[in-house]
Amino acid sequence: MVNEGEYVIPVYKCGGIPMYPAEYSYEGQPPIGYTEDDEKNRKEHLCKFLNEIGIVLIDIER
Amino acid sequence: MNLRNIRYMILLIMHFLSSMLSLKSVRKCLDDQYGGLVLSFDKIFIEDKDWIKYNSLNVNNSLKSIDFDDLPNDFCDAACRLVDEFRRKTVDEKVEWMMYFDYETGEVLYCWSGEKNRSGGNFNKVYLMGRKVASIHSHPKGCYSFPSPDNFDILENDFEDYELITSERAFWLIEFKGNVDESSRRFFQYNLGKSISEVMLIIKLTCNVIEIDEKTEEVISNYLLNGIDKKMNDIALHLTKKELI
Repeated sequence: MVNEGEYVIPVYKCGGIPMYPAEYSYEGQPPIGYTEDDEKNRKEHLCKFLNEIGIVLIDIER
Repeated sequence: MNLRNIRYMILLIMHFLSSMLSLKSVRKCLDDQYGGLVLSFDKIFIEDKDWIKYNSLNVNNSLKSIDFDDLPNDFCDAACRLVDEFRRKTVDEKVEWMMYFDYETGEVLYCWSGEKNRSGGNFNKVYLMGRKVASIHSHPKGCYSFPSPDNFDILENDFEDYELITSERAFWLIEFKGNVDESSRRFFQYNLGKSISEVMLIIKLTCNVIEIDEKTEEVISNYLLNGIDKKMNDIALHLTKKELI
């Protein structure tokens, strides 16, 4: 006999990021184990991509 | 009918009988807030209000059709028709809709009506056993077409092979056949979320107001298609986008 509790799981999909002028900022917390090196790698990876399409990523004080 | 199907049907019957023995659980199945099970079993349907509502939605016939050739080769024709109809039915809705379906047979397994920016609910994995599962959900008008960082639970779901995201201007297809652990999924989402936020802010600060939405759609789409890592734990992550306007 199947134990229903073992198999019931929540599922969730996001309906998209709203367009301007709605503000969007990712609110997720850094996952456990996320280091400064991970953040550095992420930024370098993003900068490389943006440079290829002619966009410069600058640090902005929010 | 092969052995796998027989086993699956026996399991389904056992689960159905065990959960339907009490009137309370029947009412719960029919009235739950998040939609629920749509099950075809020898033509016997367990309907709930979200599925009934979905079936009553108008079909927008003015939209360009989704080309079946743009969908995975392992999608049957019925699944392809389901995808196209889902977009036509949900494009004018103010809330998000979501389904799980069997892409080998075209059968709908779960259907939910959601809110403006999310949908989902609890479901029982036993109904997905032996099935080839894809999810599909809609982005209402006023939202960008691309998947947000809050998506990508497909990375952790061993039962979900494809995720489709439909909107007025495009549809996205995410393929990930396998699963990674929760930590890897969270790393991916956090990295993506931070990057998307930064790019959107730069665009807002550097573009004319009338260009912001188009530029955001273009750059973030490009980033998802060409900028992110397309392999996790040796499992290939494929993303495709098809413009439909």
